[in-house]
Amino acid sequence: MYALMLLQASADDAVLREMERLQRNFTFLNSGLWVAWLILVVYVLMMVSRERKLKREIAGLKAMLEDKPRS
Amino acid sequence: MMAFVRQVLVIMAKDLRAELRTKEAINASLSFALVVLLLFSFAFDPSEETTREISGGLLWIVFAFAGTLLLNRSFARELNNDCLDALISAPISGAALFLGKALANYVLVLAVELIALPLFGVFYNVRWTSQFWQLMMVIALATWGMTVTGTMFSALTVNIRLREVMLPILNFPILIPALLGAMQLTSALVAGKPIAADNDAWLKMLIGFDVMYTAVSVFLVETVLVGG
Amino acid sequence: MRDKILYIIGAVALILLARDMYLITGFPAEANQGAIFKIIFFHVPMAITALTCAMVAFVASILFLITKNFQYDALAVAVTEVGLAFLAGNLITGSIWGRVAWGIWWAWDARLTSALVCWLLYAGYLMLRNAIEEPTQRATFAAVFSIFAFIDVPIVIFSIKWWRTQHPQPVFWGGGSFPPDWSAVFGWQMLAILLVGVVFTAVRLRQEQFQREIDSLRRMAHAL
Repeated sequence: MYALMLLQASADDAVLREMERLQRNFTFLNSGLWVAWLILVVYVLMMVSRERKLKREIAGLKAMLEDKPRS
Repeated sequence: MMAFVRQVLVIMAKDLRAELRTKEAINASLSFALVVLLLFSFAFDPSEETTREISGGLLWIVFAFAGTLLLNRSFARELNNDCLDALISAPISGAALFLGKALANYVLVLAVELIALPLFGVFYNVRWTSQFWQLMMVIALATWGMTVTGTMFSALTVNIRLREVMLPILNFPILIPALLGAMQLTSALVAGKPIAADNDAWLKMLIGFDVMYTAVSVFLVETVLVGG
Repeated sequence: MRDKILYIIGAVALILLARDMYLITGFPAEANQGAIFKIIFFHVPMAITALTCAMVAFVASILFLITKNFQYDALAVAVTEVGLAFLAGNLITGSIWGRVAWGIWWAWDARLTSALVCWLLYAGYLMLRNAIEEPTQRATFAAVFSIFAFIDVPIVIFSIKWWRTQHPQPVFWGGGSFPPDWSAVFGWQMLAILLVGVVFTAVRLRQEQFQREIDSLRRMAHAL
């Protein structure tokens, strides 16, 4: 009887541990996928900001060039 | 062909003479190697047996950093009085100029290494002479790999900002396979084990590395010199 | 016209990615490694895209040295930068996988190490470019370095493999198996990530053209 209870307990333990492992596994997968997306998004943002800077610079230079011949 | 060899030798002799008159780079390199050898003794227990096992790694870190100091000066020395432009417009091929400079650097780096090696043996109580000739061969091969890419990148970085920083940043990642092979072989040789079937792949890799990069450098150096 | 094509490719890539994400999360956990194994759907395509980028950069660099056409130089920068971004993704997802599979963030595993070395190599390429002002010199020197770096890639991969097999290996890559019905999704995911890479490269390429336009406008401004 006692042995049976012990067996049950250890089985429960194993199940719990397994569940914990799966949960942890899942959390890491989750974070991994997030990071993969995040890197892509960060790179896109970097490119967008650079694009904006370049466009501003072009606009500035063009305005300057249009002004100069008149003066 | 004879003319080419003579041109290479003239450039090499010129560089060696210039360096030996001022001794600025070689002194800096030697004292740097000494300081690093000393510093390692604080990081690892020098009497420990384990230090001997990582001796290849320690040695090549010293060689690589000390070598970089020498390589940095190789083309930078020619900046004063526009010597570099004069050299480029001289009636010799870029390949001859490159090989001459590379050989001069090779001699200098080897000299520093051969002074640092016995010191290393004394400081860390390592009997490195047991496989003397094989060790010399490994050092000769790996050092040539180091100087050939180093001289090339010295030419690449000579005109840019942060020259002293850029050379190691460019050179070390490229050198990782060669340094890795040299470290493995040196550790084994210093421990008294000759090169055998289990590690001769490293030797072949070193030879392949040298041949490949020498060929590519000689092929591309003209574009670098003219483009710069 | 070119923008429109880009938008279409981008949209296709996004739809594919979203669909794959949906399918991937629906898959059952892999028998040996559990859920974390699914990160392979990002990890491996990113590595392959990065390798493709390195190859394109190599070819573009050679073409630049032959033709002196700045289009190729722009392509080489664009593709190298995009490849670095993907390789960073590959490294970080690999590290997260390693934390679960090996219990540590960084095991000096052959593949992770060689990926890191390649990352450093190509980061050096971008730094070299940043340090040179003059456009022709920058393009030529960068092309030469790119050729040097690409030659190094196979040597690095093989030598690090030898290095690791010489040591007692604490960890192995294996242990996971690929169920057959995953392969199709994997193929689509591969395509999606490659397409994302293509869009990134095209956008980056256009930025290089802007930059050249700015340079020429500057020169005009100076001339006036």
